[in-house]
Amino acid sequence: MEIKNNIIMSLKDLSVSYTEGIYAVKDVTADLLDKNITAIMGPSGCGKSTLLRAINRMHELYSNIKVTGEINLKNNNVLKMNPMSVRKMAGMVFQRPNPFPTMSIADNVMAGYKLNGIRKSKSEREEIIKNSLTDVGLWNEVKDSLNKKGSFLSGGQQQRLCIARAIALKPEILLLDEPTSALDPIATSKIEDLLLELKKQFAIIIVTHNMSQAARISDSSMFMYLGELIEYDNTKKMFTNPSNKKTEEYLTGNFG
Amino acid sequence: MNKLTYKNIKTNIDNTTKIVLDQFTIIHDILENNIDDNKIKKINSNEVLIDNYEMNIREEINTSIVLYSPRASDLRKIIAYYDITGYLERIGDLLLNISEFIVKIDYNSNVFRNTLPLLIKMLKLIENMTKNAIFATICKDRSLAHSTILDDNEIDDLNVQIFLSLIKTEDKDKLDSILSINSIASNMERIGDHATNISEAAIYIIEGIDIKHYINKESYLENL
Repeated sequence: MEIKNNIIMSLKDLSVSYTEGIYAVKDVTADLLDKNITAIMGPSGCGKSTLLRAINRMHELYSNIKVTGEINLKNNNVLKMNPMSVRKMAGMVFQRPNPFPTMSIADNVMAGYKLNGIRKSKSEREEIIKNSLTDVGLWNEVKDSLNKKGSFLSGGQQQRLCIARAIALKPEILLLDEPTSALDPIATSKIEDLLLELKKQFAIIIVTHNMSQAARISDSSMFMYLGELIEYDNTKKMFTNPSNKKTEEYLTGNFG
Repeated sequence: MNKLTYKNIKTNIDNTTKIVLDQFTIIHDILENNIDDNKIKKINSNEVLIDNYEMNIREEINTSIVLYSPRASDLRKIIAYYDITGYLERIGDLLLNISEFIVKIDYNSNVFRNTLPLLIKMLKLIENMTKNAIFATICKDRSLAHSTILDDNEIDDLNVQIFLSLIKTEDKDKLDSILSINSIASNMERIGDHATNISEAAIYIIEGIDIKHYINKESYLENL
Protein backbone atom coordinates (compact mmCIF):
# COMPACT_ATOMS: atom_id res chain seq x y z
CA MET A 1 0.00 0.00 0.00
CA GLU A 2 1.25 3.47 -0.86
CA ILE A 3 1.98 5.23 2.45
CA LYS A 4 1.50 8.94 2.74
CA ASN A 5 3.57 11.13 5.03
CA ASN A 6 0.92 11.45 7.74
CA ILE A 7 1.61 8.22 9.61
CA ILE A 8 0.30 8.50 13.15
CA MET A 9 0.86 4.98 14.40
CA SER A 10 3.21 2.18 13.45
CA LEU A 11 2.72 -1.42 14.45
CA LYS A 12 5.82 -3.57 14.19
CA ASP A 13 5.75 -7.34 14.65
CA LEU A 14 2.92 -6.94 17.12
CA SER A 15 1.89 -10.22 18.70
CA VAL A 16 -0.59 -11.02 21.47
CA SER A 17 -0.89 -14.39 23.13
CA TYR A 18 -3.41 -15.55 25.72
CA THR A 19 -1.52 -18.77 26.32
CA GLU A 20 2.19 -19.51 25.85
CA GLY A 21 2.85 -20.23 22.19
CA ILE A 22 -0.73 -19.65 21.03
CA TYR A 23 -1.17 -16.30 19.34
CA ALA A 24 -4.39 -14.36 18.98
CA VAL A 25 -2.48 -11.72 17.00
CA LYS A 26 0.70 -12.66 15.19
CA ASP A 27 3.45 -10.44 13.78
CA VAL A 28 1.24 -7.59 12.63
CA THR A 29 3.17 -4.80 10.96
CA ALA A 30 1.34 -1.77 9.55
CA ASP A 31 1.48 2.03 9.41
CA LEU A 32 -1.77 3.80 10.19
CA LEU A 33 -2.56 7.22 8.87
CA ASP A 34 -3.74 10.34 10.66
CA LYS A 35 -7.12 11.91 9.78
CA ASN A 36 -8.09 8.57 8.25
CA ILE A 37 -10.58 5.90 9.15
CA THR A 38 -9.02 2.43 9.13
CA ALA A 39 -11.40 -0.50 9.31
CA ILE A 40 -10.28 -3.84 10.69
CA MET A 41 -12.32 -6.72 9.26
CA GLY A 42 -12.22 -10.45 9.47
CA PRO A 43 -14.15 -13.51 10.63
CA SER A 44 -14.96 -14.05 14.28
CA GLY A 45 -11.91 -14.89 16.38
CA CYS A 46 -9.38 -13.52 13.90
CA GLY A 47 -7.82 -11.11 16.40
CA LYS A 48 -9.44 -7.79 15.46
CA SER A 49 -10.55 -6.76 18.96
CA THR A 50 -7.40 -8.23 20.49
CA LEU A 51 -5.32 -5.98 18.23
CA LEU A 52 -7.39 -2.94 19.15
CA ARG A 53 -7.13 -3.63 22.87
CA ALA A 54 -3.39 -4.07 22.59
CA ILE A 55 -3.13 -0.47 21.36
CA ASN A 56 -5.13 0.76 24.32
CA ARG A 57 -3.16 -1.46 26.78
CA MET A 58 -6.42 -3.12 27.87
CA HIS A 59 -4.59 -6.45 28.11
CA GLU A 60 -2.71 -5.11 31.19
CA LEU A 61 -5.80 -6.10 33.14
CA TYR A 62 -5.04 -9.80 32.59
CA SER A 63 -1.73 -11.24 33.75
CA ASN A 64 -1.75 -14.19 31.37
CA ILE A 65 -1.85 -12.03 28.24
CA LYS A 66 1.50 -11.28 26.66
CA VAL A 67 2.04 -8.46 24.13
CA THR A 68 5.28 -8.26 22.15
CA GLY A 69 6.55 -6.09 19.34
CA GLU A 70 6.11 -2.34 19.02
CA ILE A 71 3.24 0.10 18.88
CA ASN A 72 4.59 3.55 18.09
CA LEU A 73 2.03 6.30 18.50
CA LYS A 74 3.47 9.62 17.41
CA ASN A 75 6.97 8.24 17.97
CA ASN A 76 6.14 7.04 21.50
CA ASN A 77 6.38 3.31 22.14
CA VAL A 78 2.98 2.68 23.67
CA LEU A 79 4.10 -0.59 25.29
CA LYS A 80 6.73 1.24 27.34
CA MET A 81 4.52 4.13 28.45
CA ASN A 82 2.33 4.54 31.50
CA PRO A 83 -0.97 2.84 30.55
CA MET A 84 -3.01 5.81 31.77
CA SER A 85 -1.04 8.09 29.45
CA VAL A 86 -1.67 5.67 26.60
CA ARG A 87 -5.40 5.70 27.24
CA LYS A 88 -5.41 9.49 27.06
CA MET A 89 -3.76 9.32 23.65
CA ALA A 90 -5.89 6.41 22.42
CA GLY A 91 -9.55 6.84 23.34
CA MET A 92 -11.68 3.72 23.18
CA VAL A 93 -15.36 3.13 22.52
CA PHE A 94 -16.88 -0.29 22.98
CA GLN A 95 -19.61 -2.30 21.35
CA ARG A 96 -22.22 -1.77 24.03
CA PRO A 97 -22.71 1.87 25.00
CA ASN A 98 -21.39 2.19 28.54
CA PRO A 99 -21.90 5.67 30.02
CA PHE A 100 -20.98 5.49 33.68
CA PRO A 101 -24.35 4.87 35.32
CA THR A 102 -23.75 6.85 38.48
CA MET A 103 -22.50 9.95 36.66
CA SER A 104 -24.43 12.72 34.98
CA ILE A 105 -24.06 13.44 31.28
CA ALA A 106 -21.65 16.30 32.02
CA ASP A 107 -19.62 14.17 34.42
CA ASN A 108 -19.47 11.37 31.87
CA VAL A 109 -17.88 13.76 29.37
CA MET A 110 -15.35 14.89 31.97
CA ALA A 111 -14.72 11.38 33.34
CA GLY A 112 -11.36 11.09 31.61
CA TYR A 113 -10.07 14.21 33.31
CA LYS A 114 -11.36 13.13 36.69
CA LEU A 115 -9.89 9.64 36.46
CA ASN A 116 -6.55 11.09 35.41
CA GLY A 117 -6.59 13.62 38.23
CA ILE A 118 -6.62 16.58 35.83
CA ARG A 119 -8.32 19.63 37.28
CA LYS A 120 -10.08 22.11 35.07
CA SER A 121 -11.62 25.47 35.91
CA LYS A 122 -15.38 25.84 35.70
CA SER A 123 -15.20 27.73 32.42
CA GLU A 124 -12.76 25.21 30.93
CA ARG A 125 -15.01 22.37 32.05
CA GLU A 126 -18.07 23.99 30.49
CA GLU A 127 -16.19 24.59 27.26
CA ILE A 128 -14.97 20.99 27.07
CA ILE A 129 -18.47 19.64 27.76
CA LYS A 130 -20.10 21.90 25.18
CA ASN A 131 -17.47 21.30 22.50
CA SER A 132 -17.39 17.54 22.95
CA LEU A 133 -21.17 17.18 22.96
CA THR A 134 -21.41 19.51 19.95
CA ASP A 135 -18.81 17.50 18.06
CA VAL A 136 -20.90 14.35 18.51
CA GLY A 137 -24.15 16.09 17.65
CA LEU A 138 -25.62 15.72 21.14
CA TRP A 139 -25.43 19.26 22.51
CA ASN A 140 -28.87 20.45 21.40
CA GLU A 141 -30.46 17.22 22.57
CA VAL A 142 -29.00 17.23 26.09
CA LYS A 143 -27.97 20.82 26.90
CA ASP A 144 -30.92 21.19 29.26
CA SER A 145 -30.28 17.80 30.92
CA LEU A 146 -26.55 17.88 31.60
CA ASN A 147 -27.04 17.02 35.24
CA LYS A 148 -29.22 14.02 34.52
CA LYS A 149 -27.86 10.50 34.34
CA GLY A 150 -27.07 9.24 30.84
CA SER A 151 -29.32 6.21 31.22
CA PHE A 152 -32.39 8.04 29.94
CA LEU A 153 -30.75 8.50 26.54
CA SER A 154 -31.42 6.15 23.64
CA GLY A 155 -28.80 3.57 22.64
CA GLY A 156 -27.51 5.75 19.84
CA GLN A 157 -27.35 8.80 22.07
CA GLN A 158 -25.53 6.83 24.77
CA GLN A 159 -22.96 5.70 22.23
CA ARG A 160 -22.46 9.27 21.06
CA LEU A 161 -22.00 10.24 24.71
CA CYS A 162 -19.29 7.58 24.99
CA ILE A 163 -17.59 9.02 21.92
CA ALA A 164 -17.84 12.50 23.45
CA ARG A 165 -16.20 11.12 26.60
CA ALA A 166 -13.38 9.70 24.51
CA ILE A 167 -12.74 12.82 22.44
CA ALA A 168 -12.99 15.19 25.40
CA LEU A 169 -9.41 14.27 26.27
CA LYS A 170 -8.30 15.24 22.75
CA PRO A 171 -6.75 11.85 21.97
CA GLU A 172 -4.40 11.25 19.07
CA ILE A 173 -6.39 8.29 17.92
CA LEU A 174 -9.90 6.96 18.45
CA LEU A 175 -10.42 3.21 18.73
CA LEU A 176 -13.91 1.81 18.20
CA ASP A 177 -14.74 -1.84 18.70
CA GLU A 178 -17.91 -2.60 16.72
CA PRO A 179 -19.49 0.64 17.90
CA THR A 180 -22.78 0.20 16.04
CA SER A 181 -23.46 -3.53 16.26
CA ALA A 182 -25.89 -2.99 19.16
CA LEU A 183 -27.68 -0.08 17.47
CA ASP A 184 -30.60 0.21 15.05
CA PRO A 185 -29.96 1.29 11.44
CA ILE A 186 -30.86 4.95 12.00
CA ALA A 187 -28.60 5.25 15.04
CA THR A 188 -25.89 3.41 13.11
CA SER A 189 -26.18 5.88 10.26
CA LYS A 190 -25.80 8.80 12.69
CA ILE A 191 -22.70 7.27 14.25
CA GLU A 192 -21.20 6.69 10.79
CA ASP A 193 -21.87 10.31 9.79
CA LEU A 194 -20.30 11.37 13.07
CA LEU A 195 -17.16 9.33 12.43
CA LEU A 196 -16.82 10.86 8.97
CA GLU A 197 -16.87 14.29 10.63
CA LEU A 198 -14.52 13.30 13.46
CA LYS A 199 -11.88 11.96 11.08
CA LYS A 200 -11.13 15.58 10.22
CA GLN A 201 -9.72 15.83 13.76
CA PHE A 202 -8.57 12.32 14.71
CA ALA A 203 -7.19 9.11 13.32
CA ILE A 204 -9.89 6.48 13.75
CA ILE A 205 -9.59 2.70 13.87
CA ILE A 206 -12.83 0.79 13.77
CA VAL A 207 -13.33 -2.94 14.18
CA THR A 208 -16.41 -4.01 12.29
CA HIS A 209 -18.17 -7.15 11.20
CA ASN A 210 -20.22 -5.08 8.82
CA MET A 211 -18.42 -5.08 5.49
CA SER A 212 -20.79 -2.54 4.04
CA GLN A 213 -19.97 -0.21 6.92
CA ALA A 214 -16.25 -0.65 6.29
CA ALA A 215 -16.82 0.11 2.61
CA ARG A 216 -18.97 3.15 3.41
CA ILE A 217 -16.79 4.99 5.86
CA SER A 218 -13.21 3.76 5.88
CA ASP A 219 -10.30 5.08 3.86
CA SER A 220 -8.12 2.05 4.49
CA SER A 221 -9.01 -1.50 5.44
CA MET A 222 -7.20 -4.33 7.14
CA PHE A 223 -8.25 -7.92 6.67
CA MET A 224 -7.20 -10.30 9.43
CA TYR A 225 -7.42 -14.04 9.53
CA LEU A 226 -6.29 -16.41 12.28
CA GLY A 227 -4.40 -13.60 13.99
CA GLU A 228 -2.46 -12.52 10.94
CA LEU A 229 -2.76 -9.38 8.87
CA ILE A 230 -3.56 -10.76 5.43
CA GLU A 231 -4.10 -7.55 3.53
CA TYR A 232 -3.99 -3.84 4.26
CA ASP A 233 -4.87 -1.41 1.52
CA ASN A 234 -6.97 1.46 0.29
CA THR A 235 -10.59 0.44 0.96
CA LYS A 236 -11.83 1.11 -2.54
CA LYS A 237 -9.02 -0.98 -4.01
CA MET A 238 -9.55 -3.80 -1.54
CA PHE A 239 -13.27 -3.95 -2.13
CA THR A 240 -13.03 -3.92 -5.92
CA ASN A 241 -9.78 -5.81 -6.55
CA PRO A 242 -8.21 -7.38 -3.47
CA SER A 243 -4.65 -8.60 -3.86
CA ASN A 244 -4.95 -11.68 -1.65
CA LYS A 245 -7.10 -14.69 -2.46
CA LYS A 246 -8.23 -15.04 1.17
CA THR A 247 -9.45 -11.45 1.16
CA GLU A 248 -11.32 -12.11 -2.08
CA GLU A 249 -12.97 -15.20 -0.56
CA TYR A 250 -13.97 -13.29 2.57
CA LEU A 251 -15.39 -10.33 0.69
CA THR A 252 -17.39 -12.53 -1.68
CA GLY A 253 -18.81 -14.50 1.23
CA ASN A 254 -17.02 -17.74 0.48
CA PHE A 255 -15.80 -18.18 4.04
CA GLY A 256 -16.01 -16.55 7.46
CA MET B 1 -23.41 -13.47 -4.12
CA ASN B 2 -26.12 -15.97 -4.93
CA LYS B 3 -24.82 -18.49 -7.50
CA LEU B 4 -28.23 -18.90 -9.10
CA THR B 5 -28.36 -15.16 -9.80
CA TYR B 6 -25.06 -15.36 -11.67
CA LYS B 7 -26.26 -18.38 -13.58
CA ASN B 8 -29.44 -16.56 -14.65
CA ILE B 9 -27.54 -13.48 -15.78
CA LYS B 10 -24.95 -15.53 -17.68
CA THR B 11 -27.67 -17.60 -19.34
CA ASN B 12 -29.49 -14.47 -20.47
CA ILE B 13 -26.26 -12.94 -21.83
CA ASP B 14 -25.60 -16.23 -23.60
CA ASN B 15 -29.10 -16.18 -25.14
CA THR B 16 -28.69 -12.55 -26.20
CA THR B 17 -25.37 -13.40 -27.83
CA LYS B 18 -26.93 -16.28 -29.78
CA ILE B 19 -29.59 -13.97 -31.20
CA VAL B 20 -26.98 -11.32 -32.08
CA LEU B 21 -24.91 -13.98 -33.86
CA ASP B 22 -28.05 -15.06 -35.69
CA GLN B 23 -28.42 -11.45 -36.86
CA PHE B 24 -24.88 -11.59 -38.26
CA THR B 25 -25.77 -14.76 -40.18
CA ILE B 26 -28.87 -13.16 -41.70
CA ILE B 27 -26.96 -10.00 -42.71
CA HIS B 28 -24.30 -12.19 -44.28
CA ASP B 29 -26.97 -14.08 -46.20
CA ILE B 30 -28.60 -10.84 -47.38
CA LEU B 31 -25.32 -9.35 -48.57
CA GLU B 32 -24.20 -12.44 -50.47
CA ASN B 33 -27.58 -13.47 -51.86
CA ASN B 34 -30.61 -11.28 -51.74
CA ILE B 35 -33.05 -9.51 -49.53
CA ASP B 36 -36.49 -10.85 -48.90
CA ASP B 37 -39.30 -9.93 -46.56
CA ASN B 38 -38.85 -13.00 -44.39
CA LYS B 39 -35.25 -12.14 -43.64
CA ILE B 40 -36.16 -8.55 -42.79
CA LYS B 41 -39.00 -9.75 -40.54
CA LYS B 42 -36.62 -12.12 -38.79
CA ILE B 43 -34.10 -9.31 -38.16
CA ASN B 44 -36.83 -7.12 -36.67
CA SER B 45 -38.26 -9.86 -34.46
CA ASN B 46 -34.75 -10.76 -33.23
CA GLU B 47 -34.19 -7.11 -32.37
CA VAL B 48 -37.28 -7.15 -30.13
CA LEU B 49 -35.93 -10.23 -28.36
CA ILE B 50 -32.54 -8.57 -27.83
CA ASP B 51 -34.20 -5.50 -26.32
CA ASN B 52 -36.30 -7.66 -24.00
CA TYR B 53 -33.26 -9.62 -22.84
CA GLU B 54 -31.46 -6.36 -22.15
CA MET B 55 -34.28 -5.18 -19.89
CA ASN B 56 -34.45 -8.51 -18.07
CA ILE B 57 -30.70 -8.69 -17.48
CA ARG B 58 -30.57 -5.12 -16.16
CA GLU B 59 -33.47 -5.87 -13.82
CA GLU B 60 -31.69 -8.97 -12.54
CA ILE B 61 -28.49 -7.01 -12.00
CA ASN B 62 -30.25 -4.16 -10.18
CA THR B 63 -31.93 -6.68 -7.87
CA SER B 64 -28.59 -8.39 -7.20
CA ILE B 65 -26.97 -5.11 -6.20
CA VAL B 66 -29.80 -4.31 -3.80
CA LEU B 67 -29.96 -7.76 -2.25
CA TYR B 68 -26.33 -8.84 -2.13
CA SER B 69 -24.10 -5.68 -2.06
CA PRO B 70 -21.51 -7.43 -4.20
CA ARG B 71 -17.83 -6.87 -3.51
CA ALA B 72 -14.43 -7.63 -5.07
CA SER B 73 -14.75 -9.96 -8.08
CA ASP B 74 -18.54 -10.20 -7.63
CA LEU B 75 -18.74 -6.41 -7.95
CA ARG B 76 -16.52 -6.34 -11.03
CA LYS B 77 -18.53 -9.11 -12.66
CA ILE B 78 -21.87 -7.46 -12.05
CA ILE B 79 -20.66 -4.07 -13.33
CA ALA B 80 -19.09 -5.71 -16.38
CA TYR B 81 -22.23 -7.73 -17.14
CA TYR B 82 -24.26 -4.53 -16.94
CA ASP B 83 -21.97 -2.85 -19.46
CA ILE B 84 -21.81 -5.91 -21.72
CA THR B 85 -25.60 -6.11 -21.87
CA GLY B 86 -25.66 -2.54 -23.15
CA TYR B 87 -22.96 -3.22 -25.75
CA LEU B 88 -24.76 -6.32 -27.05
CA GLU B 89 -27.97 -4.34 -27.35
CA ARG B 90 -26.13 -1.63 -29.30
CA ILE B 91 -24.62 -4.24 -31.60
CA GLY B 92 -28.16 -5.45 -32.23
CA ASP B 93 -29.27 -1.90 -33.07
CA LEU B 94 -26.34 -1.44 -35.45
CA LEU B 95 -27.11 -4.72 -37.25
CA LEU B 96 -30.69 -3.55 -37.67
CA ASN B 97 -29.39 -0.28 -39.11
CA ILE B 98 -27.21 -2.25 -41.54
CA SER B 99 -30.24 -4.22 -42.74
CA GLU B 100 -32.09 -0.95 -43.37
CA PHE B 101 -29.23 0.41 -45.47
CA ILE B 102 -28.81 -2.79 -47.45
CA VAL B 103 -32.32 -2.45 -48.95
CA LYS B 104 -31.21 0.80 -50.62
CA ILE B 105 -28.28 -0.80 -52.47
CA ASP B 106 -28.36 -1.66 -56.16
CA TYR B 107 -26.93 -5.19 -56.13
CA ASN B 108 -26.13 -4.93 -59.83
CA SER B 109 -23.99 -1.83 -59.45
CA ASN B 110 -20.22 -1.98 -59.86
CA VAL B 111 -19.71 -0.07 -56.65
CA PHE B 112 -21.49 -2.82 -54.71
CA ARG B 113 -19.75 -5.68 -56.49
CA ASN B 114 -16.35 -4.02 -55.89
CA THR B 115 -16.90 -3.36 -52.19
CA LEU B 116 -18.77 -6.58 -51.37
CA PRO B 117 -15.61 -8.65 -50.61
CA LEU B 118 -14.44 -6.01 -48.16
CA LEU B 119 -17.88 -5.80 -46.55
CA ILE B 120 -18.02 -9.58 -46.13
CA LYS B 121 -14.52 -9.62 -44.70
CA MET B 122 -15.44 -6.86 -42.27
CA LEU B 123 -18.67 -8.60 -41.29
CA LYS B 124 -16.88 -11.90 -40.58
CA LEU B 125 -14.28 -10.12 -38.52
CA ILE B 126 -16.77 -8.24 -36.34
CA GLU B 127 -18.83 -11.40 -35.90
CA ASN B 128 -15.73 -13.22 -34.65
CA MET B 129 -14.77 -10.30 -32.43
CA THR B 130 -18.24 -10.30 -30.83
CA LYS B 131 -18.19 -14.07 -30.32
CA ASN B 132 -14.64 -14.04 -28.92
CA ALA B 133 -15.32 -11.09 -26.64
CA ILE B 134 -18.28 -12.87 -25.03
CA PHE B 135 -16.30 -16.11 -24.82
CA ALA B 136 -13.42 -14.25 -23.14
CA THR B 137 -15.87 -12.80 -20.60
CA ILE B 138 -17.66 -16.01 -19.69
CA CYS B 139 -14.50 -18.15 -19.65
CA LYS B 140 -12.23 -15.41 -18.21
CA ASP B 141 -9.84 -15.89 -21.12
CA ARG B 142 -7.28 -13.12 -20.77
CA SER B 143 -5.38 -13.71 -24.02
CA LEU B 144 -8.56 -13.95 -26.08
CA ALA B 145 -9.75 -10.63 -24.65
CA HIS B 146 -6.40 -9.05 -25.51
CA SER B 147 -6.30 -10.36 -29.08
CA THR B 148 -9.91 -9.26 -29.70
CA ILE B 149 -9.07 -5.71 -28.69
CA LEU B 150 -6.12 -5.68 -31.06
CA ASP B 151 -8.36 -6.98 -33.92
CA ASP B 152 -10.13 -3.61 -33.89
CA ASN B 153 -7.23 -2.12 -35.83
CA GLU B 154 -8.05 -4.32 -38.81
CA ILE B 155 -11.68 -3.19 -38.70
CA ASP B 156 -10.58 0.43 -38.82
CA ASP B 157 -8.32 -0.33 -41.81
CA LEU B 158 -11.14 -2.08 -43.68
CA ASN B 159 -13.43 0.88 -43.05
CA VAL B 160 -10.84 3.19 -44.59
CA GLN B 161 -10.36 0.85 -47.56
CA ILE B 162 -14.10 0.79 -48.25
CA PHE B 163 -14.26 4.58 -47.99
CA LEU B 164 -11.40 5.00 -50.48
CA SER B 165 -12.99 2.52 -52.81
CA LEU B 166 -16.24 4.51 -52.73
CA ILE B 167 -14.44 7.77 -53.48
CA LYS B 168 -12.70 6.21 -56.49
CA THR B 169 -15.77 4.44 -57.89
CA GLU B 170 -16.90 5.24 -61.39
CA ASP B 171 -20.51 4.63 -60.42
CA LYS B 172 -20.95 8.27 -59.48
CA ASP B 173 -24.68 8.17 -60.33
CA LYS B 174 -25.29 5.39 -57.78
CA LEU B 175 -25.43 7.82 -54.90
CA ASP B 176 -27.92 5.82 -52.83
CA SER B 177 -25.72 2.74 -53.05
CA ILE B 178 -22.55 4.68 -52.31
CA LEU B 179 -24.00 6.38 -49.23
CA SER B 180 -25.59 3.15 -48.00
CA ILE B 181 -22.36 1.18 -48.36
CA ASN B 182 -20.51 3.93 -46.50
CA SER B 183 -23.10 3.83 -43.70
CA ILE B 184 -22.92 0.03 -43.53
CA ALA B 185 -19.14 0.19 -43.16
CA SER B 186 -19.46 2.86 -40.45
CA ASN B 187 -22.00 0.79 -38.55
CA MET B 188 -19.72 -2.24 -38.81
CA GLU B 189 -16.84 -0.19 -37.50
CA ARG B 190 -19.02 0.80 -34.50
CA ILE B 191 -19.82 -2.88 -33.92
CA GLY B 192 -16.07 -3.50 -33.79
CA ASP B 193 -15.80 -0.79 -31.13
CA HIS B 194 -18.51 -2.41 -29.04
CA ALA B 195 -16.87 -5.83 -29.34
CA THR B 196 -13.70 -4.14 -28.12
CA ASN B 197 -15.66 -2.64 -25.21
CA ILE B 198 -16.92 -6.12 -24.29
CA SER B 199 -13.33 -7.40 -24.27
CA GLU B 200 -12.29 -4.51 -22.07
CA ALA B 201 -15.10 -5.47 -19.69
CA ALA B 202 -13.70 -9.02 -19.68
CA ILE B 203 -10.29 -7.64 -18.69
CA TYR B 204 -11.95 -5.66 -15.91
CA ILE B 205 -13.47 -8.88 -14.55
CA ILE B 206 -10.24 -10.87 -14.86
CA GLU B 207 -7.65 -8.27 -13.87
CA GLY B 208 -9.61 -5.57 -12.05
CA ILE B 209 -8.23 -2.89 -14.36
CA ASP B 210 -10.32 -0.56 -16.52
CA ILE B 211 -8.31 0.00 -19.69
CA LYS B 212 -11.06 1.73 -21.65
CA HIS B 213 -9.34 5.10 -21.86
CA TYR B 214 -5.70 4.01 -21.71
CA ILE B 215 -3.68 6.01 -24.22
CA ASN B 216 -1.14 3.28 -25.03
CA LYS B 217 -3.56 0.39 -24.87
CA GLU B 218 -1.66 -1.80 -27.32
CA SER B 219 1.67 -1.66 -25.53
CA TYR B 220 -0.14 -2.18 -22.22
CA LEU B 221 -1.82 -5.33 -23.57
CA GLU B 222 1.41 -6.63 -25.04
CA ASN B 223 3.15 -6.25 -21.68
CA LEU B 224 0.51 -8.17 -19.70
